[in-house]
Amino acid sequence: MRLNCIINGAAVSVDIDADARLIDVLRDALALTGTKEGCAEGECGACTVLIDGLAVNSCLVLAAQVEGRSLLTIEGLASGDGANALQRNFIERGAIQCGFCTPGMLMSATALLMRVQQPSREEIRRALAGNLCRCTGYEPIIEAVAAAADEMAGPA
Amino acid sequence: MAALATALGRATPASRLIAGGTDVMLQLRASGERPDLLIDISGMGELVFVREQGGRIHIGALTSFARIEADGLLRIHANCLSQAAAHVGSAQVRNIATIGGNVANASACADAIPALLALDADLGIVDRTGQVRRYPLREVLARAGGPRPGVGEAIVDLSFASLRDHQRSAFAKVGVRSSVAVARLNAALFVTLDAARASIAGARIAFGSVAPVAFLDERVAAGLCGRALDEDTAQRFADACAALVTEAIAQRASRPYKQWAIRGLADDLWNAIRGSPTH
Ligand code: FES
Ligand code: FES
Repeated sequence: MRLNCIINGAAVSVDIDADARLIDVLRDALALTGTKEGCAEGECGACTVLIDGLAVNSCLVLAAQVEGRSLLTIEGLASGDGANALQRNFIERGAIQCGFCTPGMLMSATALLMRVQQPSREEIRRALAGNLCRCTGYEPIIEAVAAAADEMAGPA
Repeated sequence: MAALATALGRATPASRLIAGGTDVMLQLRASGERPDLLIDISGMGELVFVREQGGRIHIGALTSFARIEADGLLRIHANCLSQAAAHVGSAQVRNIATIGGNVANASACADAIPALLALDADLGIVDRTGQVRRYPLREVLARAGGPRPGVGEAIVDLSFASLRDHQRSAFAKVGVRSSVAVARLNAALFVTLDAARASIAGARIAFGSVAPVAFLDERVAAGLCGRALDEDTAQRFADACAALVTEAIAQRASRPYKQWAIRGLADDLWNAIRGSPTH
C-alpha cells in the first residue's frame, strides 16, 4: 500500500507493507537512521518521533497509522545554521555520552517544549520518563533541557 | 462507522483490530503471527471524545490516555480514571494507547480497568451489522474465553454515571519503576458518603495485577460500608486488602512483595478518598 504523509516539512509518498512498523519505514525505506531502535517494545524511547506534535514510540506504531499526518524526526531538528538550542545544550552540558538515547531524548524534550515553554524539573523528568539512558545518569540531560528552555524563553 | 461495520464483516478469528497499536504491535512481534486482516481504526476521529450526556459520562474508545489525563470533566467525575491514565506507561505510550484498546486487551496490569470497574462502567460494542449494544464491563471481563470483544466486534465507547454529591474515587499503583514498568499492583476505590459526609454509605473497590484479570471485590467493599472516615476504618481497610492479596496470590513468587506493597496502596487510596474535595 501507499503511504502519504509529511516528514520534517516535506511531502513523502512511499510503498509500505500494511503491517510495517513506522520505525522500519523511517530507517529502511527512507534512510532516516537518526531514529534508533533499542528495545522494540515501547520501554526505552530511543525510537521516539513526533506525530502531529506528540511524542510516540515509532516501534509501537504502524506506518499506515501516520497516513496524512505530519512527522518530525531527529533529522528535522537542526536549523539551517546547525544545531538548535536544545541540541547545543545537550552537547555543551555533557548530556551525551554514547549518544544512543540522544535522538529519542531530544524528540521527547522537543515535544515538551512545544507544549510548555518553561517546564519545571519535575515536568522535564516526567516528559523524559519513557527515555532510558544507560550512560549519563540523567541529571545532565535534565539540566540541558532546562537550560535550552531558559535560552529559548529569554530575550533574543 | 458504516465502514467499520463493513470491515468487521470481513474479520475472522485470525484478524486483529488496531486502536492505538501499542499492545497489538507487541503481541504480533512476540508471536510472529501475521493476521489475515488488520483493521486499523486508529484514524477514526469520531471515536475520540469525552462528554456528559443524560447523567452519564461517555468516553470514545479511541481517546488516548494523554487526553483522558488532561480532561477537566474526567478530573471532576472520574478522579480514579484521570489518575490511572496519568500512570499508564510513558508520555509516548500515553499519546498512542487508547482506553478502548486497554480494555480490549485487558492484560492483568492494564491500568484503566480497575478504575473503570470502580466506576461501574459499561461498554458500547458494535457488531458487523453496525448495531451497538451495551454491556457492563464486569460482565465482559468475566466472559468465558477472555474479555476481548468477539470476532467481528469492536468497542466504540465506555460510559459511567456522572459523579453525584458526596461521591469520591481514587486510584493507586505500586510498580517497580512507577512511571514506565507495567503495573505490579493497582487498585481503584469509589465511595459514596452519607449525607453528613462522616461515614461510608457504599463502596466499590477493584484490584489489578492480583489475578489474571482485574476484578471487583465485594468483601473488602462491604467491610467499608457503614464505617466512619477515621483511623480505625483505615486500619481495617488495609488489613482487608492485605488478606485479599494473601489469598489471591498464595502460590506466586511475587507474594511477599505484594503483601508489603498492598498496605502502601491501601494507604494511598484511603488518603486520597479522605482528602479529596467532594463535588
Ligand atoms: S525501540 Fe521503541 S521504545 Fe525502545
Ligand atoms: S548517552 Fe548512552 S544511552 Fe544515553
